[in-house]
Parts: sequence; C-alpha cells; structure tokens
Amino acid sequence: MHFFYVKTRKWPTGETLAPTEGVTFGGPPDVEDRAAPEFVATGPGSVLQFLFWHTGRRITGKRNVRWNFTTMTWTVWEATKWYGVPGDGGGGPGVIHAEAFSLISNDRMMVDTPISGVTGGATWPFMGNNNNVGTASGPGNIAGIDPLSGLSLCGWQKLVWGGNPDPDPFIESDADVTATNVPGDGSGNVFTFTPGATLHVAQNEGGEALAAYGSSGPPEPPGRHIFDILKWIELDRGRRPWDIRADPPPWDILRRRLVEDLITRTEPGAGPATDFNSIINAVPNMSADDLKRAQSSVKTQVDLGQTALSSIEAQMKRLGKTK
Amino acid sequence: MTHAARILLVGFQDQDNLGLRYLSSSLRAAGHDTRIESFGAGADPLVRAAADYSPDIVGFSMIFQFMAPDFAQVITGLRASGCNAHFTMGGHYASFSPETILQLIPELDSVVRFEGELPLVDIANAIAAGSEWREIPGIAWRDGDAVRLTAPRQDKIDLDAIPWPDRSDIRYEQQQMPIASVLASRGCPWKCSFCSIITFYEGNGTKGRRRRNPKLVVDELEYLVNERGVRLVLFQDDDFLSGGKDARDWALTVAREIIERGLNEKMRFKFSCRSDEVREETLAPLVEAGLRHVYLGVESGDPDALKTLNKMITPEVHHRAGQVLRKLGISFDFGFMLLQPWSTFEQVRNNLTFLREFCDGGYTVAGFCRTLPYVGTPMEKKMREEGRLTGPALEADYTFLDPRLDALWDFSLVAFSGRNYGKEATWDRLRTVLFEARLDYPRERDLDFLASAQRLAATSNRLLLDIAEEALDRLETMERPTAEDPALIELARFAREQNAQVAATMNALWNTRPSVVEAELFR
Repeated sequence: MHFFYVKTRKWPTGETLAPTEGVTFGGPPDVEDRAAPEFVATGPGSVLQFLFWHTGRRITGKRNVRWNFTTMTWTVWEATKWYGVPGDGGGGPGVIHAEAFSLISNDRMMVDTPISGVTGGATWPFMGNNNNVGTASGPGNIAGIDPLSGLSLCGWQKLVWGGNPDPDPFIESDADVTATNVPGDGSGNVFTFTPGATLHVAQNEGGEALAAYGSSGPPEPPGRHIFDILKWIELDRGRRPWDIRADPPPWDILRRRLVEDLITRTEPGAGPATDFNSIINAVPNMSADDLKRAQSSVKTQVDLGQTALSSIEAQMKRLGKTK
Repeated sequence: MTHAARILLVGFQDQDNLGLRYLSSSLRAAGHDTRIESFGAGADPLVRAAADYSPDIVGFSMIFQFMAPDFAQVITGLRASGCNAHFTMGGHYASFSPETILQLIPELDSVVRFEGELPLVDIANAIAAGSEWREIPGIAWRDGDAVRLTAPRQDKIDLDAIPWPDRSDIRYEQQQMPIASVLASRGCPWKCSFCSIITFYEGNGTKGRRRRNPKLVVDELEYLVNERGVRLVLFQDDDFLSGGKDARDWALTVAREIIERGLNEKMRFKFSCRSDEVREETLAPLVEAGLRHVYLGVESGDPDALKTLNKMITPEVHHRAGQVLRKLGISFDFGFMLLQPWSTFEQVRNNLTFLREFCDGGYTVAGFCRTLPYVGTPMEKKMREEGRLTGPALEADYTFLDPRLDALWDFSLVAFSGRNYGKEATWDRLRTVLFEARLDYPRERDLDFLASAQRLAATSNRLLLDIAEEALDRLETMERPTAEDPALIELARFAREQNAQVAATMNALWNTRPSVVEAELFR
C-alpha cells in the first residue's frame, strides 16, 4: 500500500489551512495531477494567495503539477502547497526578503537567515535586517549559508505571489527514487531542483525568496539494522549518551535516532494562545478526530488555567487576603 | 621491592558511582594511592590527569554497555598519549563479556570480573611488587589472539569488612542540598528475567542478598549527616526490603537506629523495593525515620507480561503498594516496561489501563520504556536461543513479534519525545517536582504547591495515556503499520504541542518555588 497526501499550509508559519487530501495506491504506475487554486479563503475577509509547491522532492512556483509514479519504492509521499498573505514576508519594491526552509520538516520557515553574503552592488544586510537584500543600489548574487542548523543548502527559489499559472505542469517523478533515497528524507541528491548555492537578483528587483535545506547525511537506512548504530552515534556526537542516563534505556536513544526525521517533523512550535471563541465557532465543522483533539486540548488549557489560578490564590493566602 | 601503586580510577559520576569509590577505599586500605577522575569529557582531561599523576594502573568502571565505544575512544587516546600504565576495566558488561570488551579495546591489559575490590587489590599488589598478575582469580586478559579467563573468584566479600566508599573528593558543602549515596546491601534474591543482578553476584559465588550490619550502616549515615552535612541519602541497594522477615527486621533496625541517634531530625532518605514488600507495618517506622521516597520496580500492569518478566507478582499487588504509599503520604516513582519482547496488543492495552489507575490523580507520574536484552539476563539468553537478537552482543536489539508494536514504539519515541524521553523530559521533571513537593526537610511542605504539582502530573498523565491509546486504536487496524502514517504524525505533533504547554506551566510553577535538589535527581 502506498499513500499520496497533499497538504495546504500557510506561509511562513506552517499552519494547516485545509484538511489533508489522501490517495491510496496498490502499486505503480499512477499519475496524479493537481492544480493549486490561486487563492484560498480561510474565513470571512481572509484570503491567501498561492506561493509554491513542495512536491515531495522539489520546490516549484508552478501551480500545476503532475506526479508520475512508476516505481513506488516508498510508502508515503507527501506534497504541500503553500499560501500566504502578500506583504507578510517583508519583500517589496527594491527589497528581496529571503527565508530558510527545511525540506525535511516542511512545516514552517526556519528561524535563522539563510544569507551568508551578497556580492555585486546589492546591499546586505538591508536596513538592519539580515533576511533582506536591498537591490536599488545594484544587482547581486546572494550566497546561502551552508550548512544551516545541520542541514545542507539544496537550492534557491524565487517566490511569486499567485505562482505561475502555466497549464503545462511541473513534472515530478519517482523514477529514480529507491528505498534508500526516498522523498521527504531531505537527502541532498534528492532535492536537486535548483542547483547552485547562489541566487542572482537584478537591480530594483523585489519580492520573496526561499533557500531550501535538506540533510547532507546518508539517507535513513531502510531497515533497522543494528550494525549501522555506531555510524549513527558518530553522526550524533552533539548529544552524548550520558545526557540521558536512565530512561529511555540507552539503546532506545539509538533507536530514537532512526526516527529522528519524524521527531524533527513533529517539533512543536510555541503555539498560539487558545482562542475559545474560535474553537466554539469551529465545532460544527469538526471531524471526529478534530473533536477528540479539540476536547483534549481544551481540557489541558483548563487544567493549566486552574494551576495558574491556584498559584494566584495561594499567594493571596500568603498575603493574608481573602479570595 | 614492593611499593605503593598509584591507581587512577575512571568512571561516569552518576549518583556518586559507589562502585568506583568502594574500589578506591579498598585500594587505599591495602596501602595504595588512588585518584578518581570523571569519565565523559573525552580523553584530554584523562591525558592531563595521567601526565600529572603517573599512574601504575588505570581502572575504568563501565556502568552502561552502550558506553563501550566511548570508552574505547578514550582509552585509545590515553594510550596514544604515552601512558603505559596497566589498563583494566570492570562493570557488568565487562564481567559478562570480557572477550568482546578485550577485542573491542585492545589497549586494555585486563578485565576485572564481577565484584572488583579483591581482584583489583591483587592486581595492584602484583604490579607494585613487579610480580605476575595473570594468574589472579576473577580476571580476564588477552593472550595473543585468545582471551584467558582465570578461575572465578569465590571469596564472598564481607560487606562489613570493607571500608566505606572513598568520598574524599566530594564537596558536599558546595551543594545546596547535600546528597549522598549509600549501599546497605548487595544483591537480590529475585530472578526477574530482564535483570542481571543475580547472575552478576553468582559470578562471585554469592547468592541472594548480603546485608550489612544495620548499626554499621547507620554509623555511615551518622558520619555523612553529622560530619559531612548530608541531608538526603539515596540508598542504592537493588532492593532494600528483599529477604523476607529477616530483611524486614533488618530494615526496622536501621529505622530504629536512625531515630535513636536523632538522624531523622537532620536528613531524609529514599530507597528501591518491590511492590509486595510495601506493607504499612514495615514502612511506617521507616517513614518515621525519614523515608520520603520509594522507587518501585513495577515493570508491567498485565498479569501475563509479569509472568514473562518472571516478576512473581500480580497487578493487584502493585495497586495495593500504591495505596499504602499514598496513605503514608510519601512520594514514589516506578519503572515500567510498556513493551517487552513477547508483548501482545492486549497486554499493551492492559498496561495503559493499569497506568491510568495506578497514577490516578497525578499522585505519581506515568511513563514507560521497553525491555532491553541486557547481557547476563535470562531474557537475553532466551532471545538468543530463539534467534531473535539482531546485531552483536554489545548492541543486541530485537523487533516485536507483532510489527504493529514496532510501529507503536517508533510512534512513542516520536510523540513522547520531550515527555518521556530526552534531556529535561517532562516525566523526569515532574517526578522531581512531586518528590520535592512532598519533601518536608529542610523546608516545610507547601500544600498549595503540592496540589498544583499533582494537577500538572494528572494532566500530563491523561495526555500520555489518551494519546497512546489513540495510537494503539489506529495501529490495530493498519495493514502495513508504520509510524510514518500521516494521522499518527499529526497525533505525534499534537502530543508534543500539548506536552510543551504542560512543560511551560511546570517550569513557571517550578520558578515559584526553586528546587533544593539537583534537577537531574530523577532521570
């Protein structure tokens, strides 16, 4: 069984904008066509515009994408279309705004700037912002930091609001994907959409740019062969085994390394404050799973609120005041 | 001509590493000189220490076998620096698999097997005298491509005859809450299938548990409390109460001595035991003497899994122990293996149900691991016989009989990263918070803080168990189970988001009553 999933996320924060679309295959071959609409509405007065596709292997600004699946040496293939609000980025006339994007986690922009330097007449940092390049003073070549947060630079992509509506689709394929070279693992040899570590910008050019990062390490082994463990330890010298000395048991720290990609992909964000009114409004449209999740989440918020209330009341008691 | 040997002892400093300190005191009692160095910062500090100290022997204490590659790296570096001392190693893994360790680390000259005090003193005596050490009982050494094991040691160390552990380098006065480890006994009479304690001590020809004279144990406590300023004692005994009525009487004598000497006014202590040893009539006097925390080897809440683990206990007994400890008002935590090599779906469900009841109200914190096949355990032997172990002995692993449980375990490692696993995991921190909240010395209990801590623990437990059960439901119906399933990934993300919120509140609460014990007491 093979699963093809299409997600819709908001740029740059990564919030899920629509339910995941899923297709299940028994085996190859299969062709999947997807046309991303230029706009999606997320509520009254809230409309977001297309920015790019993460096809599972590459980034493209084309709204129409075709996936030719001929090998299916994989189990799950995940593609994501990203939408944003023009102006949220920081790019504009004469200013290129660049963000770093992890092809592995594929769920938000990375924190650090991807820019290591700019050659030519362009100005960087621009107005004190090291994500911005000023182009009024001339053209330039933007060099990316490589590696960044342990990930390797795979390439650059200029983002255009609304994307490219060309009906001739961007072709994606799994023809050269093997069991050790799978979409989503972020291997440098998988994400080859824009070779080169620099991005050229013209004088007075403005807008958004993306520097995509993946892993430069070996792809995750398909099996859980223990002989590979020492190699993984070598890759993980930053976290010594004795940092975690009892539980989980030591070997499971090693096994944990084998699901590291999933751990990265599920990294929690700061999380917005709970908006109970929005939850109440959304309840009628929630699926069973959503309801379960919302119930659990609200319970947590109530519990944490009660803890805060208890702290307040305890302090009032200490100060000799009544509730 | 005999002279005093200089022995550099190297080990991971975890809760004092009493094993290393007993070696040091025995060597000193035999007239040798010792120095203790921590392991864990690479070869450089040891190279400097060796250059400064010029040891005749360097003894490495390896507690966890997963550290073997790191020991190999350090030992190679130390030898390469020009240190030509005799290198030896001890510990559970080295004792059970001296051939492997001598092959893995060719710079080692010998391995000291099982209890190390007597053989290491013999090695030191031989090297100091320039005489042959290769015939000393209880060691292993490399002879060309072969490894020679000398006769097993059968001289049963008298625990009352060996000196107290060498604590000369510990600066208790620099600790906010001085904490010391103490060993009142060695060994365990039980035969749990996942544990190597019984086979380790059998290697020395001893069976069951050897207890020290209780008055001498309290002498050591008195010294630590009155002369070193210790305020919290961690008994490192494998099982403080095992051994039937004799052991209970022994424990009550320890309690009585503590009270008679007034030490219960100046310190608190914790120990480990089994659930079936938790009886109110036994524990109440110990609580009066200062017992404030018990670690229980619960391991499972499913009757069949408990049989597989050869725990000789039922879930009902665990529940009864929990009730007694709650009644006594002391904190407890416990070891729990959600999965063991022969686990079934039903057993896992039963385990989750058990945890919900056992941890009810957030009195204690739920958490779990899976059983690992440690060398020297009956379980490892059985799995090897059944051909289920993968990889070499040093890194033996296995997959479950039901592949859905492999996916469940992968999911757990992802979803509960930061909750059950990892540095500063919520599980560990909450255990520390609850321990401190119930600790009544050196400051009084704050009942409001305790109530808040329990509420947080209850919230964290609910999230853990609800999410684990939801994952179990989903995996049960999957044809090709995988933690890569998108719904499970979303569930894992949700688990981690929720845990992050609980952790943030826990940290805020922690800040309202700063800790007096080290944050890593429970991890």
